[in-house]
Amino acid sequence: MMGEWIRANIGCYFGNAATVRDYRVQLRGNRAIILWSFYLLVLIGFTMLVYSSSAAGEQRSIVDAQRQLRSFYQSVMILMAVMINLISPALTAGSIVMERQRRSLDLVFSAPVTTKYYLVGKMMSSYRYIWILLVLSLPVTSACVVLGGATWSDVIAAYIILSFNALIYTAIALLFSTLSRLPVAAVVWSYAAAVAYSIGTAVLAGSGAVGSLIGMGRTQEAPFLITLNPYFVVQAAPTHTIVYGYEVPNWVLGAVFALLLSKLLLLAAGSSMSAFGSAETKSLRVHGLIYTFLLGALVAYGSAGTLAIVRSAVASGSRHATIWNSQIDLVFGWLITPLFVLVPFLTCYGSDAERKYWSDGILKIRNMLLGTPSGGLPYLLLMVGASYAGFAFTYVQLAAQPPSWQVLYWALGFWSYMWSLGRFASAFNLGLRASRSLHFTLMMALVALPVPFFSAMGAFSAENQALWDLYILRPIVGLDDNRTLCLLYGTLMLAGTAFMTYIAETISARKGVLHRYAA
Amino acid sequence: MLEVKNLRKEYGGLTAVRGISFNLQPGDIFGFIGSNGAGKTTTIRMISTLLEPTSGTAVLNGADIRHDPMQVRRMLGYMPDFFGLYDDVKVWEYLDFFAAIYQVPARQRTQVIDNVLELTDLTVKKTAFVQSLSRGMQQRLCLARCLVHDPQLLLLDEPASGLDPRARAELKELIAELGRMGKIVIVSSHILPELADFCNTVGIIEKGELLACGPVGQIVQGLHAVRILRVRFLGANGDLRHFVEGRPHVKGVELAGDGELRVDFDSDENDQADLLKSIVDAGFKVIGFREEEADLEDVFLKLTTGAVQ
Repeated sequence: MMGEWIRANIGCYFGNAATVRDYRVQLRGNRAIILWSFYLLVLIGFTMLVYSSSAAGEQRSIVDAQRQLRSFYQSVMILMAVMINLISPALTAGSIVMERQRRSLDLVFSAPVTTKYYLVGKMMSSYRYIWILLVLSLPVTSACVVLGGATWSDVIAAYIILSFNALIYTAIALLFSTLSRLPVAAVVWSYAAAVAYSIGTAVLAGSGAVGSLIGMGRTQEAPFLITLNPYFVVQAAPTHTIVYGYEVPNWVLGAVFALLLSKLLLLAAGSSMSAFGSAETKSLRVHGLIYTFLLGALVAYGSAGTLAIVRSAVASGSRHATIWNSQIDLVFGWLITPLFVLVPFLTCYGSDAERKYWSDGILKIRNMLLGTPSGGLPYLLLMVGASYAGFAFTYVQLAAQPPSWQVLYWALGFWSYMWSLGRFASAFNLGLRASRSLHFTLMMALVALPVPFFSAMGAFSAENQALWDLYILRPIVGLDDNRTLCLLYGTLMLAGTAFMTYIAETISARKGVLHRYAA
Repeated sequence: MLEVKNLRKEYGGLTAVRGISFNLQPGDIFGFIGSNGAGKTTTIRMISTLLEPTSGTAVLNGADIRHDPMQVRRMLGYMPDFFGLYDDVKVWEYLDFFAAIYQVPARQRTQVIDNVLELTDLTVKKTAFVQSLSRGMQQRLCLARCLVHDPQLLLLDEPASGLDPRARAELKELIAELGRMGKIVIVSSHILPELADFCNTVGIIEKGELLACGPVGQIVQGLHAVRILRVRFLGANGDLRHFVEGRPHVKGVELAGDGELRVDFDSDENDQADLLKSIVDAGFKVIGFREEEADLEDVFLKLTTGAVQ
């Protein structure tokens, strides 16, 4: 059993048939040589341009020269980051969607091939090409070492950071390649997601780490999040995190994170290509719960530092204790807002080419991991619970008070209501994509649309609270004690859930689209 | 052996296949006949494990498509009604890729590829790019792809569509050869003459229902309660017609043109021989006596209404 598993994995990662075939195509004839020559010419041209404008010329002090060489190295690395940001999605986005268009996937999956095997093969063929480009650029970056702008350890760490960022971009593009119907859509969505990822990680990293690093010493402690953005590669390469008293280089933690994230994205891609109840879907859902728990724990750990300031203020008596409690609740409430992207995929049903997501009932706990619509609500609530558990676990470890049970009650009610909107949207549409779009629009209409209106009427303050009390996210807005509001809004949301579900089921029953999957 | 048991597929409100059952033995070439949209491709895709049945199953040499799809896939070769070829790939690379995913050991692949290319008469095109092949050659390449792992069941969905007469004849000969090699071959088509030539078993499907299934002769015979005999003769016909009308097992006689009678006869070949003997003994000059064979087209048209789902 174990031997078979090992053999299957070795076959998956070494000598994968999909990788070998793509490799033959990528390296065929003169095309590869011409592309690489062009790539090197651009790289060398850019490097020469930057060098001539910054480092060459008049005499200067050693410190100035060193700074300019460092800046030269940074420019080269940013170019590399741009390169992987542009090339990784382009290489990967078409890989599955084009096969689907060509209808060659049927041929592949009528053979004894698992989804994992094929997706890993596709991912490796793109990723290997990125590595070829990275290796090709070594002569240029080594010039930075020779000139004194960086050390070899800087360059190696930077290459590792760039490579696992390329892995993440590749995995993102692969996911969109499985989700899209057209190659153009896959490319556009992949780039949009890659840009969103870059901006998101830049905000995360830039908020705490990078600002303190630029222009300072070479080896510093910083959150490992800094390594998750390729544009901060120069700053991130020499940083480390203290784990149980040991200095762990951040590129190690970043690589672990990138591998875990890539695995999750691959599982999502595999799940989107498989039938209900497939091993990929079950694995994705189990991983989703574990990752949600870990994310909750990580955010709680990250926020603990900031909240400690509030806590000390509370302890010294300068602030009211409810502010501390409320802030924890707010952090937890906002932490789970990314679920907005996920809920339509868990909730909606309808026709989608050969895969039919017909409703198989409203709520069946045993279907939680199968991917059928009846398992959507229990899984969604379990994710909220896992996030709360991760959050509370960390705070208990830090001997601090965890988020209140009232905010958990509100979160369960709120996300149940969001789920019921999905059922409502599905009842009006036969197509799965239309249902998901309508569901997302309804959620945004409730959550985002009122904000400019309320803001125009008056910013959130003690005087304007009555107006803002109409806002659906009111329990996680404001620093006052919102626990009573959580109870009230949670109850209202649950009542709204029952009402919306009743309407949705009535409409669906009338249209005769319910329970066909179960049949 | 392939056992298809009550296979059913529903898409939302549409039932594409309504509980199909049949059994096939090694060497059987099964013609799956039906109009466009009758459910042929859905059935084939379910057997090939690409589509999960709503209910029912199929078992190939003990492996169930629902419970052991990987084992089933190792034993079948599926050729859809489209080529699904990759661009910028050579013929041997294409076959090498499929040999690899069918887990043919690397050291055997070259030999296997040479063998299937020889069988499909594509050896001279081994290093050509697949997009440069003619349609007939591409079709044969697809068949070669199905054969790289020496499958026991071949599922060929509309294999001859779009081929010229020569390519079609070559393909028919190839499929017949595969049947002689002991493989079970399921060929779906709505072009009946091409199936009649080499299938020994047929199944007729309409609106997802299997209307008839079995050996070709048996189906034809089952459809006709009486056999139709054609008797050609010399001289006046009036006497012969009266003579034949009075013979045993004759249900009706009518003139079918000059010098020919059409006789509805409800017994076997022995009684046919007796009838012929009695006509000759009575002094009529018979120059032709044959049973009219109903072809697949007759059977198909008689059984089906042309309705689609």
